[in-house]
Amino acid sequence: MKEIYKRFSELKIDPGIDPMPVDEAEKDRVKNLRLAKRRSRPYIRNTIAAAAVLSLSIVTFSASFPALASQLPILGSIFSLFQEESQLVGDYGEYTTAIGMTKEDNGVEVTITDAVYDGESVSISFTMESDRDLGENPILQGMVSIEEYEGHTPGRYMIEKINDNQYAGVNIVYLMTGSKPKDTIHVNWKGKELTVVEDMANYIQGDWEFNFELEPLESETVQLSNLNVTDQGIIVNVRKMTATPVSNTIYLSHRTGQDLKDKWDHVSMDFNVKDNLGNEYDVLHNGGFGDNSYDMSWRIMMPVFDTDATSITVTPTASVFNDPNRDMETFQLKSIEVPLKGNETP
Amino acid sequence: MKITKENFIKRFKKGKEAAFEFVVDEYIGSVKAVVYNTLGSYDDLQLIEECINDAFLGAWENAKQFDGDTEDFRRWICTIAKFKAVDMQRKHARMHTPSEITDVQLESEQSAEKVFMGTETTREVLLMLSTLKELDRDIFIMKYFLDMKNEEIAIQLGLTKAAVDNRLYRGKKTIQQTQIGGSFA
Repeated sequence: MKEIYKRFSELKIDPGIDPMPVDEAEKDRVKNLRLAKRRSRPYIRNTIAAAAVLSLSIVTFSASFPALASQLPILGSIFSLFQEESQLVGDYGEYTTAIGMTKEDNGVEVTITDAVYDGESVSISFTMESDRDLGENPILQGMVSIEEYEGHTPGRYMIEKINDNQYAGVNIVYLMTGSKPKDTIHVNWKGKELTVVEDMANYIQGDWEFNFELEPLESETVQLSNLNVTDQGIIVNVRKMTATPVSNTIYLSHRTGQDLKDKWDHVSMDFNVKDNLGNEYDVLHNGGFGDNSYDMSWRIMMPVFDTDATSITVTPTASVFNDPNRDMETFQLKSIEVPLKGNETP
Repeated sequence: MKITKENFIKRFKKGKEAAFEFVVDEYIGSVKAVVYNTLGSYDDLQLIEECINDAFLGAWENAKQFDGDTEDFRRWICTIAKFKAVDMQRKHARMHTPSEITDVQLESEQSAEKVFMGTETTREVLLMLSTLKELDRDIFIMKYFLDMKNEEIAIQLGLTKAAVDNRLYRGKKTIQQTQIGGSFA
């Protein structure tokens, strides 16, 4: 909760209201409060999180791409459009695949410029050009599916206006569950409806369906066993870690003991990652899945680790809370050390 | 040391009780006005008192989050009061019988945001907000936690109303897309 009080301070919203008269008894009543009640109410941090932004960094536009891309000098720095909250931006150009497919319908031309599949997420960058204004952030509605993958695919769509009637965007799909295709994937983006946010009643229907193939980046997955911590009634397991040339993905799970279950309606986890050299990494929570909040699997993403690091330390933070009265507590659990493969000291 | 307009913020942040009393004396009138503005129609004195308490406790417990001068402090504590009042109103609406809920809802515009947001608890919304960009997050905070109208939000942030409408729409979209089934069961 802390964060919102901080934001309130920064927002400086004027109430635009005159004070009301208050008698002394009322003042005294309030003054005596703090003696009676002194409980702190910590804030639960991003369980689903500021995700997406990191995964963005794994896509970049190919400068050689003809059509719209070449006319837009700004395109090379398209990430800056979406990176307001993340420092994790690199040049991953060499890892992307130029797609260069254009579909035009109803006066709107959509072009997929580049895409990348790093074994964990598919990121697609695209441009949109129209014969008319589509507002600030037109939404191309339609599923992205991967023929070779049947799991859960949450993700994120982002688009910004870069010129009159010209837009650039990135659409990211996380492959959350199950096994990920190791070979060529066939991606289908069935764009069929364009929503102009400013005029939602008049959406534009059309065919902007794309099919393309992507080769996975070389990634290394390590199944981890016996990496767990049991602390304060919660067991956290680090199950799997995948390193790609552009990111690291860690899969974790937690289970909640009966004592905590009796006391709290929900349990949520957050994670902090450091390496043995003291570098702290931005963690993007990709979300979790499970039947209930007591026993969940989680996925987090981080940038590439320092090549000199031989291990990382994952520190879980649990937030437990109740629905009706919104009581909550947050506590840190003991850390779990995860050796980095190939980097172990002898 | 005597608590004055010049030094109370520092001391309030340090958790000095004298500063708490000073803050109550100085701002209770404004806090009460904000709370009345939102909850006055309930004609429930206890509810209002509780909400005033919550506002001061909220400020006290989160004093370290405040940064600014005396005028900023007034704005801050009034925003907290509004936050608590809106929260109280929402809880209250949930507890009412269906016919009364209709009355409550009729008082404000029935927007898509409300319908959507109405299904989430505050904490879930807080979690979801973390997926948004700062500006969008601010808009959602003002909309959801402070129940401000889109026009008011626009003025506060120096945007057009259309821009606020868009961003609310787009933010919801983002939230929906980032949400994962079962996470918040």
